[in-house]
Amino acid sequence: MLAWFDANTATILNGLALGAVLFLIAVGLSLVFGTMDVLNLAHGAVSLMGAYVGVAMYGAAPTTGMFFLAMVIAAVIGFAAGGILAGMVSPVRNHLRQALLTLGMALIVAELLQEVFGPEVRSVPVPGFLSSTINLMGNPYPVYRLAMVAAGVVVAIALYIILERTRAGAIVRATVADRAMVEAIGIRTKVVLALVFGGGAALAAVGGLLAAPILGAQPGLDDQILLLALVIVVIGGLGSLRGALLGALVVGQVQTIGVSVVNEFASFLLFAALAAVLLFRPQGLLPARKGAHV
Amino acid sequence: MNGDELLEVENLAAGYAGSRVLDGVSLTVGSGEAVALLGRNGAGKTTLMEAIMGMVTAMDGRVRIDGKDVTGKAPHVVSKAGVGIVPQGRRVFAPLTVEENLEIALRKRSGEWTVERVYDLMPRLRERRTNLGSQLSGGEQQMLAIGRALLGSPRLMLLDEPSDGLAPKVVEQVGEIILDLADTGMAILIVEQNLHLAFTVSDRLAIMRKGEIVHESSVVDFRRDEQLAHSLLGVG
Ligand SMILES: Nc1ncnc2c1ncn2[C@@H]1O[C@H](COP(=O)(O)OP(=O)(O)OP(=O)(O)O)[C@@H](O)[C@H]1O
Ligand SMILES: [Mg+2]
Repeated sequence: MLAWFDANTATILNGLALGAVLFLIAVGLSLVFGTMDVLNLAHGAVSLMGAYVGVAMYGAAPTTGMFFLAMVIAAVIGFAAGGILAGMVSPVRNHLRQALLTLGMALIVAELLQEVFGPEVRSVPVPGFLSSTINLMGNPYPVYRLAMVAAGVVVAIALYIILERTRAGAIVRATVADRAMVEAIGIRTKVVLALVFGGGAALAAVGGLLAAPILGAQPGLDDQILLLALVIVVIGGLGSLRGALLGALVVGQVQTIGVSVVNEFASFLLFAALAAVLLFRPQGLLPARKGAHV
Repeated sequence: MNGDELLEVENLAAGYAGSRVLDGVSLTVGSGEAVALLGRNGAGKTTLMEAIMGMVTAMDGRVRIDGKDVTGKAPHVVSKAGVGIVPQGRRVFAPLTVEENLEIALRKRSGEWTVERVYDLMPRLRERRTNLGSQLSGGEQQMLAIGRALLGSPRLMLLDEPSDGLAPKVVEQVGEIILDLADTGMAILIVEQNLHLAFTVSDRLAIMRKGEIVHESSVVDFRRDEQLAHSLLGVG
């Protein structure tokens, strides 16, 4: 067992890095679903917008300043996109129509991105200050992937503090539990929801940007990202930060270990994990505690 | 209707998709007055409370708070107009602590009620401040729901079956809290199956049947006329 870990440390770390960015991307989808009861099928497209921010801004060898500026811009674009989406879906009550509306927006955004950036795979370089490798048990391992893990950890802790330790976070949790009751104590839940939607989309765009040096940027990536994020939300459970984190870690590992161990069955493995969760714990591993009436 | 009425409901119709529950309900509550709303299960009492609050959409008619038309407005607008609700089933925020439940309900500027003042009124809540809503007993949840509504510093409090599911001792405690509030001059509209509690708290009563108000009188008059009480409520 230990020998296996030694031999596969790099694979496990790769899975952690993928899990970390997938967490950034999926957490917004999960919280928006939990608070707003809206399945945002444009979430993958927002994430791809983040990746193309990298394409547009990085050039051949992005500087440290450019890297952080790109992050800020991806966040702003994501936040605006999320706010617009929230405004569009909030008058729509029917779930199917909401899904179709966001899907329509996703298709429009994907088409526009393809117009601007072309149909081919655009590779995105690693920013200079993160482009080195470290020695990992005799083998070089890219620092950038460790930075991805660090970014995931920082965001998870920050989100935890905001959600669990601030008044604003308490309002979000209350909205997940019983939206009408939050309205009845005098809070405009539309604003709460727009902010959650915007914040989640901002994280998705930043996640897309951070993942771009690994996954590249290309048409169709938005659908793959959306699919992984949906699997994460279903595995982890709706509307919960811890659920999104656990789901993302599971999916990150299943994807990378799956590819390294049984390559041809990797995507089968992912859906086997999904099916197992649906079978034995249909509410997800760590769902939000809804129970408004207990 | 005169200018002293805090709540005026006029010919209100409301319900759910495909079913009109309220049909032309008119009701007033004066400032400082306590009114009991009685009626059998399914009569539409909760629907009326939620329609006043804006949680159920009005299909016809008017709701005014202190003269201000709030018909069809979102609940947060009605709340800011001075209405607090303690809903049926209490609906405390289960994943939040007692303190968080209260803090998010605090309306900063009006400032008449503070979390401390709620704790002083209901010391049990102070003892349980770090517990989650889901960890409270029924009586504690009821107190929390009342405290949460108070933090909006309402002039009108809607209470929907506050004694529901509580042990007799606890009903008494909750009843005293409600009496205290009535004594501060807060207007109250209370739905209650516990007639003793309803009559102790209220000056006036209105009885609903099948989405309509079929009787209104003072509590004193109503209690004098046993036959009427029996025919309307099936009690003595
Ligand atoms: N969410 C809903 N959707 C559809 N119909 C509803 C809904 N809530 C209540 N009703 C119906 O509206 C009618 C009135 O219900 P309401 O809850 O207002 O009665 P109530 O007088 O409060 O009864 P109770 O004493 O049992 O609380 C009932 O026939 C009920 O079935
Ligand atoms: Mg009721």
